[in-house]
Amino acid sequence: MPERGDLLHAAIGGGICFLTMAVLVDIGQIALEQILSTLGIAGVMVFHDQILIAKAIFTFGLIFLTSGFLGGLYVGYQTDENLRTILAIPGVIGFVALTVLIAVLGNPSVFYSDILGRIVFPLFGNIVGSYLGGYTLNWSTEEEEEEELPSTQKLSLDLGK
Amino acid sequence: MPLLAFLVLLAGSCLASFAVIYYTLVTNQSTNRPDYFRLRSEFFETEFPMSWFAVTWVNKNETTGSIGEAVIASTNLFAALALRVYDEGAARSYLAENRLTDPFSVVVFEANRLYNWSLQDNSNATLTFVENGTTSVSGYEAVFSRVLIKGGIKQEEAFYNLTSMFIVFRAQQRLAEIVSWGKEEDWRLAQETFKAILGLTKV
Repeated sequence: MPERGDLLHAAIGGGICFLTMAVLVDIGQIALEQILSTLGIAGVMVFHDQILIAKAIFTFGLIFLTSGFLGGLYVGYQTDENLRTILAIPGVIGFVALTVLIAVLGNPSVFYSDILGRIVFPLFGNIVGSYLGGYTLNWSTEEEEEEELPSTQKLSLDLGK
Repeated sequence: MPLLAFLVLLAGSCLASFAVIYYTLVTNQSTNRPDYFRLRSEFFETEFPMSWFAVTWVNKNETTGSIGEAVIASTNLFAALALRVYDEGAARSYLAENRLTDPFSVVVFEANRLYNWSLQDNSNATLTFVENGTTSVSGYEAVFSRVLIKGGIKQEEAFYNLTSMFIVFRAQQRLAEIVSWGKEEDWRLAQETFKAILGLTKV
């Protein structure tokens, strides 16, 4: 069961995830348009439906995965207990906070018109990124625990005799 | 390992995004000119340079009819072209509302509308009809006028001359307007592109 301290770190990780997204989300949108203009194919943006898909995939990696990763990295640095449970929290907090911000400041109907880019990819990206970030600093610990387990079990069996 | 997975996902998403863009580019590339895109709607077909910016939309009204529109703009010159096609109902409504009778009256009306817009920023702007005539667009006879509005456009607190060409024609029951405009020098530089777009437009 996660402890209070772990939950607090998870919440802070969620805050880091949200703030990173808040900074990157506009940069990401503009970056793709700038890249297309620089490549001399700005006109491709007229094909709105296909470009929406391309933008969703682009922002998934650059913004949502990265934001989740940074949030999870913080949590992984602060704790190595109950990671499987804890690491879902930063991603969910970040996603919910950004969704609320967009709904309050912008037009909530964008969520209906672009479910893939506004809900599916952000939530999935944040959660996956969070797990990847959290386990980046704790991967060797996880591997050691898996290696130690058989010898510990053997010791118990010997004592039992 | 997780770091590697993150980097692979990040790179993969960028590659996948550009794969979608590349596919879009290839499937919409013009067969006439490889550096042009083909743009199709229920109202018109046209082609424009890949490096130019474009938007297209339809105004639908159950009572008055529908209008298909597109704006194609240069990304490095102050010059753009607008295409507007009224369906039968919308054409009837537009002509009646503005008391217009034929394509030339539409040309004069739209030129004056642009001039009135310029006057909002510069009350000293003057309108001159430089050239009038007829031409062929999409197999239809079209009326055109080229106008010069001195001091017609304001940019960074300075006024520049605005050149605009209005082309109007009836395509069976539809009404089509093609307007190009820009700062005088930029319009001249973009003229070849405007001619190319015009030649590739079908209503």
